[in-house]
Amino acid sequence: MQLTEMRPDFERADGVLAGVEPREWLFRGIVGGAALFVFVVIIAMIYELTRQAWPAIDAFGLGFLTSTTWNPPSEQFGAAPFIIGTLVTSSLALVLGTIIGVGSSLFLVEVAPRCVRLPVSYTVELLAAIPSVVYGLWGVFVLGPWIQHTAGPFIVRWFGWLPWVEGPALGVGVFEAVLILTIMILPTIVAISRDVIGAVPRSQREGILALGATRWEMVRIAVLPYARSGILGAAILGLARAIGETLAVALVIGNSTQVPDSIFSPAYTMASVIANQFREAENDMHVAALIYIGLLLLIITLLVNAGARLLVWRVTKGQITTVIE
Amino acid sequence: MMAGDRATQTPSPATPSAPEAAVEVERLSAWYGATAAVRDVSLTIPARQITAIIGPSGCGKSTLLRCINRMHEVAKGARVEGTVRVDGEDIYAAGVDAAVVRERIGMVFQRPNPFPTMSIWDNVGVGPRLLGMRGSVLSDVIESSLRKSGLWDEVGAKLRTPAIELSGGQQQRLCIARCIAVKPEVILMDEPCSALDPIATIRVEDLMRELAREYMVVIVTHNMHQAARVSDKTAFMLAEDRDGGRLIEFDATDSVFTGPADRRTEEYVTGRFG
Repeated sequence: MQLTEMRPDFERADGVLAGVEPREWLFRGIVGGAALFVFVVIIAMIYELTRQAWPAIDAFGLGFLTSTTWNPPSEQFGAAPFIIGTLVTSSLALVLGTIIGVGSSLFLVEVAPRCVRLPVSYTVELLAAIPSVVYGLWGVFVLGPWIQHTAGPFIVRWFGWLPWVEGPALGVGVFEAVLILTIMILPTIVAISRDVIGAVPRSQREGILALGATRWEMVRIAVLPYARSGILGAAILGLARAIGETLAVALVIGNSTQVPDSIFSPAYTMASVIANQFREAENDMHVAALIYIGLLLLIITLLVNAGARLLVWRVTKGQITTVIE
Repeated sequence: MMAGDRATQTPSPATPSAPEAAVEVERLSAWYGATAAVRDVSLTIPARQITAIIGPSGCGKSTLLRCINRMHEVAKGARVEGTVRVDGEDIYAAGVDAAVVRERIGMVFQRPNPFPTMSIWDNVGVGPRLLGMRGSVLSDVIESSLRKSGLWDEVGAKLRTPAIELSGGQQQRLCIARCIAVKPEVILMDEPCSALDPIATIRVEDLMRELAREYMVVIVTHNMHQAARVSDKTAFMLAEDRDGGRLIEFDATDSVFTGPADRRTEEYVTGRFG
């Protein structure tokens, strides 16, 4: 029996579907609509944010990005402290989280016996399910005092010669926010990089072992390069979470509108300033400025994602990769 | 030792005083977890020859091969008993580093496994670099390895391109070049042609004969014709009960294929089973 007998719809010599079944149209409509919906939502958000932020955009222009003044009563607004706070906390958390996350993934895949691997994996994944306010409260009541009394003085004493390391540690500030964010993005990074490291074929590991490599050399030469685009993807997802995290950061970062000059200074992030000040905005310009920050946050997120995609594409150009992207 | 028994057929070594690396396997058994793969195998593999290990699927021939460079133990739950001596040294003795064993005993795998993130050049250079070679020493080794594996004329102009852009047969010869770049004494090949087309297979077989002038080559193969074509000696293994593969016969390839001593060998080489 030929296909054409069963489905006369498809009969056409040039290979184009002449007529498509109604069910086929329904399917196309649903998935096409879903895809369009996402696109429309983003466009609508940009439009609406721009419209509502317009008074601030009109008044401050691009100078808003570089101005460090945030003075609601006198209607002087600049977003630099928040942009700096967001970029500094999330990029430091990204670095720490990637190092710790990839390290523990390597441990889980390469070193740990099964009886350790499974419980640790589940525990790490459980971290992802804890609400961010819980992290924030833990930061306020446990992490903050510990840094204020123990870790902070120690770091200032021994590493005070480094730039941006100055005391005293207050118990709230950039350092606390970075640690909280690191812990919050770890489950994402560990879960994904554990999978991509585990997916490196045995033939690749044995190929380098057969040349006389030690286990560490195997990881460095065969495993990590093979898994790198997947690990990069994991780091990007972690970064996205760190940039957008609001509540936990708002609780521990100290909420200061000054540009931080030390890792122990209190600071602010874009997301947390919006959350804290939006309801109690003092005037219309204040509201517009906060929405302007929201618009910038959206743009930064889009840029980070686009840049990350570009990076993944460049790193993996011309190579077989079996990972997520 | 049986190193000299076919000396008339093998070219004399460049330095006659150099020890002939022979591999002596003694009462070797290997397991994966509770499953026995190899049972009580003893044989002495001569230097500068090609020894083929044949037998039906699941007879433990690959496992035996992987015991010779301690690759078996990489698998989870793997266990080995017995001894393997290379030049008289027990590679399973306490204090012997598996990485050092694998430097001396190279391996080529069933499927070509070049490192996909590396260029052709780096694929060959990665082993010597582990040994600390740099600069012109390194580039000389890379060039001579590629020449020996017959790849230089084909890839000499594109050494910086990714290795995975090569054809399957070229990739396998690249893996052979990568293996000989660390100057091993023994080259183990685990069904090296099973993923290759006939033309590429012939090229690799020619290469094996070239390599046998300098190295001991041990090849595991599914293909009896290949064993008959390339090898000097042939070992036939069989797992009759569920207790791991045993060595049934080990002799000169001609005898194994034309006048086997064991009935089971004869049935296998004449194609009655397997």
